Amino acid sequence: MNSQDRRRNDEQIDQWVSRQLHDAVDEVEPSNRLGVLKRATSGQRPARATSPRSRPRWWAVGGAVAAVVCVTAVVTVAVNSSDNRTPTATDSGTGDDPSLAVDPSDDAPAMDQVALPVYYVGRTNGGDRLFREFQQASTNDPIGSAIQRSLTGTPNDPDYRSLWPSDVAVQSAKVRGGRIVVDLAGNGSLDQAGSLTSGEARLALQQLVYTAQAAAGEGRLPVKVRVADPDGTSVLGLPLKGTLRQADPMTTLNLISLSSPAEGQQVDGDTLEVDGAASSFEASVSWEITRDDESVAEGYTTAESSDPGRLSPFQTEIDVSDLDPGEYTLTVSTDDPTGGAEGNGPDTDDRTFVIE
Amino acid sequence: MDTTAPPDTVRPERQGVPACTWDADVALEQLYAAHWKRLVRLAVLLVRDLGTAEEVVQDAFIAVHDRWRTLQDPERALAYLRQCVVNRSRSVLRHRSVVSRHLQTEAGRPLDEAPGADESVVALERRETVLEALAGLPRRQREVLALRYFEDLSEAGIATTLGISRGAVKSHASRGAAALRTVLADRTEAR
Repeated sequence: MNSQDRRRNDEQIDQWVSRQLHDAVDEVEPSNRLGVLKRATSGQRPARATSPRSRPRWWAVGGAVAAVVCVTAVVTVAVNSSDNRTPTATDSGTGDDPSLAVDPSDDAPAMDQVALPVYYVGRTNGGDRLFREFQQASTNDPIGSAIQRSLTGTPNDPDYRSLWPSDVAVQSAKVRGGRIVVDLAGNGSLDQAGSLTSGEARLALQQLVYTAQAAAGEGRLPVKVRVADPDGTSVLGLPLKGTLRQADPMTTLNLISLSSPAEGQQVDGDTLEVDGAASSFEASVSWEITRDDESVAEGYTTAESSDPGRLSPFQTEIDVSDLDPGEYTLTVSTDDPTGGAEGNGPDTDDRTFVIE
Repeated sequence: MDTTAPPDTVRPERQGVPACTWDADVALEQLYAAHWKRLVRLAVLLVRDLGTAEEVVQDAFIAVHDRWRTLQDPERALAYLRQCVVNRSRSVLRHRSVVSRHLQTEAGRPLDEAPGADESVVALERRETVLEALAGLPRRQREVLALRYFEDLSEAGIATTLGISRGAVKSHASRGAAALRTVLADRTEAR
């Protein structure tokens, strides 16, 4: 290889490596953290309310230690507050991040509009299982907000509930070193099972684990739960050791879950778009629309995979142009080839929607 | 404006202030607007996952804000930011346990897709493959590749950022590129 060839070869390698690295990350969209940064560097204790017109005092920050303390404080209040019992999930305008309320800068950046994955408990033929809802929110702390909603928020679907005590507060939730670290605070008896059976307590923890992992969006990261209430050795009657893992989805999740339509959604066109995930025999998903318990339409669709062991996505569009205005219920079901003769029968999920 | 007063007792008005006397909060906003996204992407190349990358870069911005009085210049601030990102990424990796890294690799995302996130699976897979290959390289090679091919830094710039000689930069770059090609070629064949 002469020197010219070598140079050309080097250039090709350069271009190739450059393309690989750019392809790998150019579409990565980081979240907006300017608000967090401003608060972290403002030198103000975020819990202290100040006049809304006053500007942050930037140079109150001395050295790195002060800055670190501020970061911790900001993150702590970001999702903390027992009155943060998000009344509905459609409160996107008001935001559910109380730290915004104490941000004194009048040019605080808009918080990110996100669809938070939130897991709640619902009844199935096979006992209590987890169901997932997507809730619209504006927050700069999707993980903490999603967990707080899962633990003490009000689900959109009235069939769902949380097993956690209503006064538990998520103080911080962050991905650190390949784990999700979640700090919880209660009213002094978060270590007690209360009225929960040990199975319910375990399912309650899985609410937290599934929600945290989904909100972090980085796969099944182990979850470290820390509770300073009262001594951090147990939570809901279960010992707190090491990290929590996701329990087997097949025995924890309802095997079918609707992401869309949202509960109470208004449909103004001719088409109802249905979106969800299911683990079903031969990937088959059946749907039915009812009004006052009477069936008005039904059909089938197929999930992308019948892979047992995970829920795979399904989508379908249902023509609703023949339906009169009013309130309807969409029910989707997994396929039970035994017709209920074996096992628990099909899993279902339903949503109310409104034709305008 | 009283220019003789120390900057931590008198706050200069923002309007009409030349760039060289920006105060730290203005600097932070400008630097954020100019570099936040790209530096997070750089950090993703180094630490792989987005959440950690954002943490790393956020800390770097806080550090720059703290030091603004000694930096006082956007170019120097950027160099300092880069250095912080590389150093902090390194310490994150040092603390990340082998077990959790394995878990992350294993983790599928069947349940975690946001609605409407119809990103092509192929693109996602390829991206993961490159990040995985980078993660498998020796630390120095990964850092040099990211700074050279993503940040487009010169050899001299990389040498300063990493505190190594230009010769070392050169050899890490060529070994890193060769290793990346080998790993990715193997992956592609394995499919």
